[in-house]
Amino acid sequence: MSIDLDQFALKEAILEVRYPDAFLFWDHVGSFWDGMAARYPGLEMDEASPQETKVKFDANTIGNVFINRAFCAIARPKSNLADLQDLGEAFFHSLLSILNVNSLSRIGFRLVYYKSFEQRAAASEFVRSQGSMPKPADKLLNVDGQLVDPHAEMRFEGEKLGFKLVLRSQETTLTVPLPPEFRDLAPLKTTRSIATLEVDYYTTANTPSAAFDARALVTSWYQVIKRDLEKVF
Amino acid sequence: MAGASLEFTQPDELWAIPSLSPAMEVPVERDMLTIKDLYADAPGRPQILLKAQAILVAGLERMAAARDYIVGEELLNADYEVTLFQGDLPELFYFSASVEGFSTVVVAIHDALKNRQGKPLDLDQINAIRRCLTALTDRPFMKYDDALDLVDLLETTGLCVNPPESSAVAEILLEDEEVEERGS
Repeated sequence: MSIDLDQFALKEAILEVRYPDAFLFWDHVGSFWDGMAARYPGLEMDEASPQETKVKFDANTIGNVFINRAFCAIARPKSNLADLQDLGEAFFHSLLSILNVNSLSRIGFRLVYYKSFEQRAAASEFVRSQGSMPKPADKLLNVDGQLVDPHAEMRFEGEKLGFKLVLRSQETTLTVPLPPEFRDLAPLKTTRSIATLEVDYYTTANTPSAAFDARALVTSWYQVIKRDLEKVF
Repeated sequence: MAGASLEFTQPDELWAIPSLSPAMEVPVERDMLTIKDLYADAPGRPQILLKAQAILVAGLERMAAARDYIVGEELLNADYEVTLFQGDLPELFYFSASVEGFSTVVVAIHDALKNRQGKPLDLDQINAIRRCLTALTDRPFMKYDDALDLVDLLETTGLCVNPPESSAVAEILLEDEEVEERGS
């Protein structure tokens, strides 16, 4: 059986770069965010400390800058990742210039997909059926049970590029506590069974900053992932 | 391999070339990723970028051939190689449209070749253009300031990087100033 990405929904997309310690972080990161605020008027500070600055561009989008790495992440991105391309281009072009970063030790592009199931067992069976995960007997190690929340992980690396895949099933529960004046109502609680597929595609060698373009990279790597991922399973 | 590295470090090739900014002086190390390693052929900017890379690599080969012809005192052949490279250059404008530093250098090379008005390039000028092409190949998304360093490099070899039309505009502006001065 092979993974068909069409049956998954894209939950999150992240683009991250890592670089040697950029000490200009302490002098210029404010200028960077000031420039970004001019471009994204809804930008709000979330956290700021000597180690990191984190802002929200909107409810689904964050940017985070550290002394030696930076990333931007979008929850529920557009299917063609146009929003990540636009943000990544503005974010990294400005940041790497302002922090005077000449070399990137790692560029990482992470996609998180999910697929919903009615039952936890169905999500587990879906994950188990991908590849060569064993189907255990009903009783193992004196436990009379069944396989729940299987988790498969692999890393594949070359001298230039690498990727990591994680496929797992999980049950997530959302509980909303109600204030005292609503104590007559039952607390809001909902459970979802999902299978998640995380794809982490990254460089394993240094890259000159001036060879990095977020728009071209996201377009290019996304195409490779969509084209070749099914061959992995 | 030893012969190749000696060829590139001959003092007479490098003495006239000024130092560039630190970012541009950092050599692309062997373990560093190249554009071809990073970007796969995908529609949109990656495809245009890879096409630009192919043109730049072909340009580097032509300029290397031109340099060899000059060293061998075959000036006509050298000029022929430069002219062929000049013919390919406008294709790079398509990629330049969205990348400021890259476009600055490409336009400067284009105008420099146009301004020579048939005169052959000398060895320093060819080496300066080769250095620009190498930088564009390795670092197409260079900062604007780094691009200006490359334009300076071209100018220091005697190349005129201003568009040919700029001299006419300068004359008009100068005439306007003279008219104003007379009026006052």
